[in-house]
Amino acid sequence: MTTSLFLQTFMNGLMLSGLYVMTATGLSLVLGVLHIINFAHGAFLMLGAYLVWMLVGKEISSIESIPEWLQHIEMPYPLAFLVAVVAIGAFGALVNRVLYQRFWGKVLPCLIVAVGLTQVLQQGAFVTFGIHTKSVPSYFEGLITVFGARFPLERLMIIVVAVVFTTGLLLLLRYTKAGLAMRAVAQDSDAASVSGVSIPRTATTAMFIGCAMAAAAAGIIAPVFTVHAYMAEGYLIKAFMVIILGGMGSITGAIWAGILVGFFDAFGSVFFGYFTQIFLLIFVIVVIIFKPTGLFGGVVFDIFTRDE
Amino acid sequence: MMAYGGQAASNDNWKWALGGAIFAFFLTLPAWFKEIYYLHALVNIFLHSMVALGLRLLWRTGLVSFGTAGFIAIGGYAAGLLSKDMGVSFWLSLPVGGLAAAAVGVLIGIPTLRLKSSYFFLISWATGEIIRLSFLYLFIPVFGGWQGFRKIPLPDAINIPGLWNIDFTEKAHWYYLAFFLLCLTVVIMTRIDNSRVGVTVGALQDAPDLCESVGVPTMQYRVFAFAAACFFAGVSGAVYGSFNTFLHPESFTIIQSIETVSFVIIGGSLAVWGPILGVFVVKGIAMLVRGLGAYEIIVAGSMMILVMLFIPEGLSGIPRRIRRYLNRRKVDEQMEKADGD
Repeated sequence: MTTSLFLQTFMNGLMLSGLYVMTATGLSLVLGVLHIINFAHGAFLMLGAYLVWMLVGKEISSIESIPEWLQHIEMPYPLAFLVAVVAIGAFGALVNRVLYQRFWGKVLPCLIVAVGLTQVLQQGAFVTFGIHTKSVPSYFEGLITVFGARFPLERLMIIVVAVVFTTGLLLLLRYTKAGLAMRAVAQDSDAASVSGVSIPRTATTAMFIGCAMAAAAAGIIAPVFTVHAYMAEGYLIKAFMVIILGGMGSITGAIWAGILVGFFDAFGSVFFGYFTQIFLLIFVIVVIIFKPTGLFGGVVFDIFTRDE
Repeated sequence: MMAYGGQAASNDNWKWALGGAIFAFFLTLPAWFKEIYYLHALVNIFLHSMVALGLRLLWRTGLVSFGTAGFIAIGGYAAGLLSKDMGVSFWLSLPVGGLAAAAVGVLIGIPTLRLKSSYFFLISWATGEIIRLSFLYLFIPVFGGWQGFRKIPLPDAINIPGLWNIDFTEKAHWYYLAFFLLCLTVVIMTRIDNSRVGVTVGALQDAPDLCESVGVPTMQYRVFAFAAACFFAGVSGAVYGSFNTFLHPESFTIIQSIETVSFVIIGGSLAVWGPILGVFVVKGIAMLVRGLGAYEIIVAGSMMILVMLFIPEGLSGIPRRIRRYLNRRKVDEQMEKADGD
């Protein structure tokens, strides 16, 4: 393996880690606080990507089913990114209020509802936007060359955004009142509600943040990869693998596991090609069988509760 | 007391008559209705119903499998391999396909089914993906990889001179094969339901924690249910492969697995006819409204949400709800009368 190939793969691994960490921490937060499996997480990601594409809007007029006023919006990419993050977060909070909240504590029925929602959203997007893939024009142009390894700036931005959002989430959980409430509900919802934490409000906040993380991941990959209705399936299964490896509902576990899976993916596809996925899936099943609490401790929100 | 007994008996008669009428309708259908499009769609509906019936048993033990498509693929590929490359008769490779899927199911199930159901959904999903990717990237000379598994032979003809010559060149022959297998599955499932195993599974559905605490070996029932679900998926895959003479790993993704789950959810798992109703509702709408194609998944998804919100026991639970409502009204009226007196 030459230096340039190694560097290239390493940067790819960083990029994939960033994506997996961003999608998996959102999923893990919702799992930890709401105690439900949000199968629709991938669908929110896909919606975020489509929203960025619609707001940036260069080729949008070709779709008839989009209302007229939306077709005239042309935003600069960073603004579209922020709008998508907030809008998808709000949509997630709405879904929590309307659908998920009544299934508090019932894992399987809520999973089924989330699956139904995924089908409706994904196939709905497929019917609305058509079979052709969309692409958002790239905003960060340029190429960085280090020791012969070329790396486009927009891929570097994925790493930057991932670091910013993940750090933001950690700080929010650590230092704000809402973060404290989420940690409390994740640890013991009964005790939290007895102490005066509003569980519905906390759940809605968690869902907002989780879906906003998914939308951020979607917004930043939209210019790099193509946008289509079933784009999120790969990320969804990766996110679930990550939260299994990191321990269900553990944020720090999800971060470490996301980095692990990202680098395994990047280096694996150099060494094993297509078999990487099979190895990874088998590894996850083995971990579930022998260590269902995850590779990284498995105490929910462990790093936050240790010194308090 | 007498009146109640008589009412129950007449209820049963009514059920038998309705079941017999439906059976007769589908038995004679190809004789007076020869549109190939509908017969083809009905073959698929019957095959899906078999899979859904297996999944119903699994759902009753508190599990949901997101990897059913993978087990359908195992059945199809195993049976196709036997009948194409090894020259084994279709009628032998059909059960072997089912058994191969069930064997894989047991291998996966024994170490993983003691975990919580939220883990099992992930394991079944991962298993389905592993199976799909294996058929895509492993043993490409045998399975064909991206080219798909081609030229699966037709079943051997059943020839009774002067009476039958079923050589599976016509859709009606396939229709009867799928119909026969579905009826067999229904009989088996009814027998299971009425047996001790079925009663225990029903108890597991109603009160899983209570069952656990009185010492029901939950895990054994779960392994059994998973093996049965995989077996029926495998058998239907074997028929599917020979019916289309072609199999491709990409037709066995998570989307197909979820579709089979949606049949059980929409139809409901209380009665054996529930999942079949689910298949007929989802697939039947798609069959009758041609060009619905892309909207079929949206219909299934939204029905899943609505059923879970308003009738969690599925569409087959509606009669029970109506009966309970009427009974309650009757009781209320009698109470009022008693009050009046």
